[in-house]
Amino acid sequence: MKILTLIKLTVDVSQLKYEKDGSPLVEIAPNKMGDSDKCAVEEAIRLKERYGASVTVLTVGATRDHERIIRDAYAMGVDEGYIIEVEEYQKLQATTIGDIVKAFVEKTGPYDLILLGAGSLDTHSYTLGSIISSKIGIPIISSVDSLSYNGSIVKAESVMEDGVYVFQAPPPLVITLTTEANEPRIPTLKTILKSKKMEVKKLRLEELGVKPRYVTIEDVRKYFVERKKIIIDAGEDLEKAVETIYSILKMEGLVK
Amino acid sequence: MSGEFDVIVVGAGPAGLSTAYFLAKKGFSVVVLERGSEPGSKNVFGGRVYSYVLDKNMPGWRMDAPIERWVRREGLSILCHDGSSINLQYIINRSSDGYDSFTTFLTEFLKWFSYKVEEAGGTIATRVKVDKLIFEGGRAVGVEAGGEILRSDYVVIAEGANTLLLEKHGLRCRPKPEDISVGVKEVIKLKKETIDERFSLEDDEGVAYFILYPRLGGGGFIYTMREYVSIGVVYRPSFSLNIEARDVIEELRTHPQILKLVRDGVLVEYSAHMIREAGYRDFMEKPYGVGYLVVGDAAGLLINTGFTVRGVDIAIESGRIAAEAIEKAGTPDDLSIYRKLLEENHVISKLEKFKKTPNILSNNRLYTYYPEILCKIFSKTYTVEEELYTLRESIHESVGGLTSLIKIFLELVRAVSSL
Repeated sequence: MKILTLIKLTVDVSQLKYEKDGSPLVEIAPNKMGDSDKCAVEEAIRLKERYGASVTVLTVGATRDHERIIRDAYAMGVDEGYIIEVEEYQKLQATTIGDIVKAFVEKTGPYDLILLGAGSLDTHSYTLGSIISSKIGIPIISSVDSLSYNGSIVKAESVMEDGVYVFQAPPPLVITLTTEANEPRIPTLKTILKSKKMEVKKLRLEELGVKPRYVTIEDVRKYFVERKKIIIDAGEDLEKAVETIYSILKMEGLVK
Repeated sequence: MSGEFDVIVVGAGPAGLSTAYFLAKKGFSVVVLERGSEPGSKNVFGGRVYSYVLDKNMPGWRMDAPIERWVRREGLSILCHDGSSINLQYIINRSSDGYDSFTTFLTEFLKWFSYKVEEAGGTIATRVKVDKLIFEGGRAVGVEAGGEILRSDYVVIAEGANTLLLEKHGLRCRPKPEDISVGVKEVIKLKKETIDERFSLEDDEGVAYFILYPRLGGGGFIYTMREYVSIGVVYRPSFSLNIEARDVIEELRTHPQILKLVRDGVLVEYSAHMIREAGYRDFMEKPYGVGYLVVGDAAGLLINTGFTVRGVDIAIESGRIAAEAIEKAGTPDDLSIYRKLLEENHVISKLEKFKKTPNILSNNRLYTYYPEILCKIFSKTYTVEEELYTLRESIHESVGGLTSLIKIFLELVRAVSSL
């Protein structure tokens, strides 16, 4: 069994700070492997442990941090890792990532399972899984909260608003996972040291024959609600305070 | 080699990385184990590194080191209760010099340093918490982390000011509360032009301010980065000035004279760390044993001159010396050469020179009473009202009588003579 896992270097949004005008200070935010991508890696390693799969991990980018997340994946138990070197990786369209994965699969595959996070931590477009599925022409099960495999059939559960959807299908498959899927393991001293010695393979877009398409994000702003800072003192006259609150809410159009 | 590595270094701060860098350069196989998610992530420092130590040991470092600004303005500022301040500035002419020290973010600086270690052939493993050292027959032979054991010929302890490992093995005592300060720091983002304008700076010029604020029970500092200002307080909980550690930085930031400098900025970082203040008294008499060495802050290698606290450069220097000691000793059995080398390289004499400083610094009158008096004197001298004060009168009135003046004078003489 061969598994390909896709990981993305994302901004750690929980540590993102904002300018007064709401624009994010991206350049000082720390980067990490996306949370749901990490769950995809964990799921791949669990399958490896049970069924002896070989696990390959792939990322797109050109920084030391990309190398770091490949090594993070090695420390979890991944067998080999590739970086597709693209300088302006942050501007790549999802369809180009799809082309990259397709070309990579043609070069190194085929794979029985392609696992990735359901949506990336920073852009949350939830499109990559479907793009890959359509480009390669294999089925997809998306937003999986729980995955099992009996050696021939994958069973995947997805919790939706109206209930739990259960899908069953044989590989090859694209599967996107949520952070509910598992609790990623914490690497140990020995596995971390081993990860340091492993080779990180690098490929360029030309080697894959992929022409990049870029997209530019013009502006990103955090939505702020200005606090009104109205203080109503209910100490003296409660009746009057209630009146005041009511009239303010009415003015805001929140009550009739 | 009895283990997977010749040397295990515990802690990827300035001292640990320096040790690893110089060992790797000498051809030793070395691994640095760091508890945090990246080198320096458990570290807090004001923002300044002195260049000499890098000039001496790492030629070409200026090519790619993350330098924010060169410190060419040294300031001393006393913040008065009434919102005014007294300032003294030393401005270095950049054409003559001005490359003595620079401001940087320690995480950036250590990231850069860790790349140098890796380029030299060393290994750095983060998110590894060393739980204990492994001793066999009194000899340090490795470490235990998360239930796994890693063996080596030498162990270098670079765990920083909070010496949990050394204490666990009875190699060091827990410092007394009165010998500990808490450094609290905030980093505020501003535009470069705004910083240049507010601090009268140009291009890559930066400032380092030492601040006395009677209310804080400690000294404060300001450093300018390219697009950030870092402000902080070194606070002595033992002074018990009815102010909580969490409030001191707020007090500093909202002082009118400081507020002017950081107004409209975005707070991007808040951090705090313990600082060992005892100076020479705190230095480990024997920073080595069979199979192990102690470097940097963990060994008490921190100089508090009264105006500047120097840790990073001494840490780097002690790391270099530790590497040299391991090379020269040739065996983990006798590492006493480490202490000799620390002496030969004037590290210990530097500590000794300032050995009395902690005594003065632990006198809270230095942070509270004197600055207040100075504020009063200046206020009286420069206030023009119907009644005019001579300087003598201002002083007399602020201090309150001749006996107090003499007492202050004596105390100051004593303080200055031990600085």
